[in-house]
Amino acid sequence: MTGGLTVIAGPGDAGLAGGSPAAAAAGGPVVVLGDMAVTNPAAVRWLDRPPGSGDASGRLVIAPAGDGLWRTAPWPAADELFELGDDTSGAVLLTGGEDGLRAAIAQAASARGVDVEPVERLTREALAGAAAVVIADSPAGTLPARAFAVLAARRILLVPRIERTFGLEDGLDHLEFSGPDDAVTILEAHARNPDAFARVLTWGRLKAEAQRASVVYARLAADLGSDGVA
Amino acid sequence: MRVAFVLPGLGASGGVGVATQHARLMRDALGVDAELVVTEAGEGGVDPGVPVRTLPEAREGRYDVAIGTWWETAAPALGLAAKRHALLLQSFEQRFYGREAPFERLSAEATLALPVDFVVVGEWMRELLAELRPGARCRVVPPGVDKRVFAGARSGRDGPLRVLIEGQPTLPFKGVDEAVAAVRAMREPVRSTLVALDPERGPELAVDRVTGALDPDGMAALYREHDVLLKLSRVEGLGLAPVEGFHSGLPCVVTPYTGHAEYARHGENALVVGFDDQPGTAAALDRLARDGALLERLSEGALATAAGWPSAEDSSRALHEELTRMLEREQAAPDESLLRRTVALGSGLGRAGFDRGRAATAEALDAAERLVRELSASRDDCSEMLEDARAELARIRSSPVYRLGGAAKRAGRRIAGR
Repeated sequence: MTGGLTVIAGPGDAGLAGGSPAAAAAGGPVVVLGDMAVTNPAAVRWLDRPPGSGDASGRLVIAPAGDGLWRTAPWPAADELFELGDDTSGAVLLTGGEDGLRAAIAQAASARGVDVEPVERLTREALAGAAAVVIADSPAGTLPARAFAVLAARRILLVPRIERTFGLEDGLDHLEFSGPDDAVTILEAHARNPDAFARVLTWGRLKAEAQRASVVYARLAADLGSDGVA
Repeated sequence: MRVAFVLPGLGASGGVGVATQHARLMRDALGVDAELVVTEAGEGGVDPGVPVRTLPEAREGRYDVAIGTWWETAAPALGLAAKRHALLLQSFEQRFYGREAPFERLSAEATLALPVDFVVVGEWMRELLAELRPGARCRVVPPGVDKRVFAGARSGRDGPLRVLIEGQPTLPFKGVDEAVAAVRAMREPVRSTLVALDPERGPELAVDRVTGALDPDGMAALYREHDVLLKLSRVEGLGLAPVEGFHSGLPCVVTPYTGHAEYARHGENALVVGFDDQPGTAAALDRLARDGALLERLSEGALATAAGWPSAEDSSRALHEELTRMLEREQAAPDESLLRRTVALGSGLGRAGFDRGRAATAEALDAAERLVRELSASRDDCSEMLEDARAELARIRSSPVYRLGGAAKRAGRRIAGR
């Protein structure tokens, strides 16, 4: 149970956004993160992408972007992430769903001698050893769903230029890039002087507080209650 | 005690209003020789009720404390002859500038490293400043509310939910467009009012009424005429309008902007909605429209929060106490380490910005050169075609057939002339 809800997520996603990897509901309305298959019907499906035509209709859908949503939101940040210690000398992780952009960033980084570590899927364990995370993804011009997990963990977050930021401010709490070379220039500046970026980490964690899983799920439970979803 | 509040001007803004109120109350109620020093002469603004000096005039005097009230007034305040220098920080002001204004961002942020004591308007600012600049001397003095003006009960509702949207529509970070869109997405009947500092400068917005440039009495009356205040801002130091509204039992629907947690509690005196969540915000407003008991409960919570909020006099007294303490301490030292980090970050990100600009310029130049080459090639092609056409014309004119045709035409004209 999370704030009066049962939140079900895949093992990697539960570490980022809270919830349990167990597929059996423990009590309260069921919220399923991502595309994870569940046997019992969920009250809410919380996608990390805009819903498509293949998504089942009729249930409440939360997503960072899309039409006909019940709520528009990125994923919350698991409470445990706020306790992770700093690692300014850690790796630079490269992840995200835009394969072409990811490959272009990896190529630009390699050409300029900047080490980046591609990861297929971001996890809490990977975050623990990272100093910065590049998420090559901006679904429909929107902040990627896992962005707040990175900020809660006090890691530098780089994303492509986005229109819908969910309260984040470019240059203050996260860094946006206009293309692969721009991303690598920022990573070079970070590698030269990581201490100078401490302010970005501080603001990032402050902004992530509003997305703390325990707070978000408690409000979600109240909203579901007021909408008569048991 | 002689105190100078250094302001950019006297034009209407929340920040100028707070500083001016402190100066007036410290002068009237606490016997402080407080005055306003303006760095730029400008039009507008109301009579502040305290002496106003220009910067050159103020440089002739001596003060106990000189207080900068905006990043551009920090250096002028430090330039005044004063025993102590302070900054009244009502927001982290680099947030007012986007990536297109890197120098303003850097300058505003660099003020945090200056040799000053800080007075901030919210606990969150003190906590953040303590992380950014460990050891900074900082006191929280929330802006007070004039309890005589912001008082009285809301009028009863007999019809649609009355939503008051607060924010300057020309400032995107105030979220006014988003608020208007959320109200329009509601299912329940609603009447909306937008109140702004300068409503004339706003675009046409789909609300029932637009008002603004109101004095405190006008704002208080407006709060009493509505059922809920909607504020979807992204950048605030505190955001005082909801607190003023609380004094008339007006609850609020707000985004979790910085400063909101100083007074807004979800389900107690407010509903906190997500940023950029239009369906969620519309649903929250619909819920208030449908559920009178919830609205009443939030209204009671708002009044309870208001009861514990400092009055304007309390607030200025707290500031006076802090200024007195400042005089008992040494002048604060600058934080060179923070300054170095700030400059390093600003130049690192600035370099990325310039690289972006340079890349964009190079790209535009390449495109322009391509066009010139294409145009030049087209011109050459045209010249060749013209030459070809001229040669063809000459060839035709010199051909026996053409000459024969010409002779026949001339003969025909002669025959017709007879």
